[in-house]
Amino acid sequence: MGKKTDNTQEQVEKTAPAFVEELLKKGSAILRAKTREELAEMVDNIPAEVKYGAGAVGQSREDGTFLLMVELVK
Amino acid sequence: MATLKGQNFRILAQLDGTSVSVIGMSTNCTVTLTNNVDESSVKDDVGLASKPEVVSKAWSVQVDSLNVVNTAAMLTAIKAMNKIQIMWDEVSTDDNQSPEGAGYARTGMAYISDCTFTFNNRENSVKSLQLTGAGPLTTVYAGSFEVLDPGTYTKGQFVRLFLGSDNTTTPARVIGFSTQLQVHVSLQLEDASTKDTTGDWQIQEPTGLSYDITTNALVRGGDTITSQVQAQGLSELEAIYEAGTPVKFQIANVSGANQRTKGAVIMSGSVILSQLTINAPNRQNATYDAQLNGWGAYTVGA
Repeated sequence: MGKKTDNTQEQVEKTAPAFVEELLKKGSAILRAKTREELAEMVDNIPAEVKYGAGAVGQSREDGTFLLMVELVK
Repeated sequence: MATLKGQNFRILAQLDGTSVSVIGMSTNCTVTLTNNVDESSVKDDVGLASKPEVVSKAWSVQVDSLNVVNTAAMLTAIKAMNKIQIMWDEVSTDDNQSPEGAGYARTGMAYISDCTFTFNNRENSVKSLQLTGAGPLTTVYAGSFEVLDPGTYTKGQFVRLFLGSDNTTTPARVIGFSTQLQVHVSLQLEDASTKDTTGDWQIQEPTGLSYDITTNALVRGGDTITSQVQAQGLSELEAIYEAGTPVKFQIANVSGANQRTKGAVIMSGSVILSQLTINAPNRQNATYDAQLNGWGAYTVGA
């Protein structure tokens, strides 16, 4: 099981953006974008082999940016 | 001495497994300390008065919060059935996040026994947590505290229920013209204290996990919702009711025109449609309510 996870991580790290690396490393990551559509694109960039759970998209009252908290699902 | 305001009394929880922090963006909290009593008056006593005796102690905490960004973490936590550290205390500083160590501050271990997320149209989404004590309360918390960043808000129309028509295909259609959505996860607990247990505190243990989803939608005239807007309407819900078999669901973030484009999935699984209620009051919009009961375990994410 552990070996499988390591292999997945190696594959993902070759192409993944920074937040995916953070997700794999820390077990959770926060995605931020100016629009919902940008946030949806970021989510689409998470490789299919990475199983994650997401919270509800939040919008900052301060600056209007959108935020999504994702965490690895074991 | 001024009366304490509600914002200066907060619940702190060890939700991340390391340090205790306030439950962020909370709007209300209730702490209930219960002495369970047993009548001890007997025929030998003079008069008619009762004499209750304390036989066990229980406690619970209920918190409402506008933070639903951590929905996945909450769904994972209640499913994990782990006890977490809870604390209540008077708080100070500008953001009311720093515990003061008031005389009435208490801490103890608790289960997340109930978790409800409400995503209603044109309303801020709400998370309600019920935490049930699983042992004694003490006055001293020895761990560290963490201060949270200010959070973000989620309008309910940007989280929607996608419901399938069978138990095999990933659902692609939202409930059309829906107005309300509520997800409720419940961890059933039973007192497991015995004659071997020291003290009066009840010792709660998990015995079951269940969840249900309720939604409300407007009834649109005719029978064309599915073909016109690719959404599930009343006729499809009635078909699901008649079949009486589980169907796949997903609750997901949405974007795009009419908020029907599926984004990051919050939870998924299978449900049974247990009740469908059509409401048609005079001179008001006709609506229907659907109650869906979780069938098997839910998955956090897709």
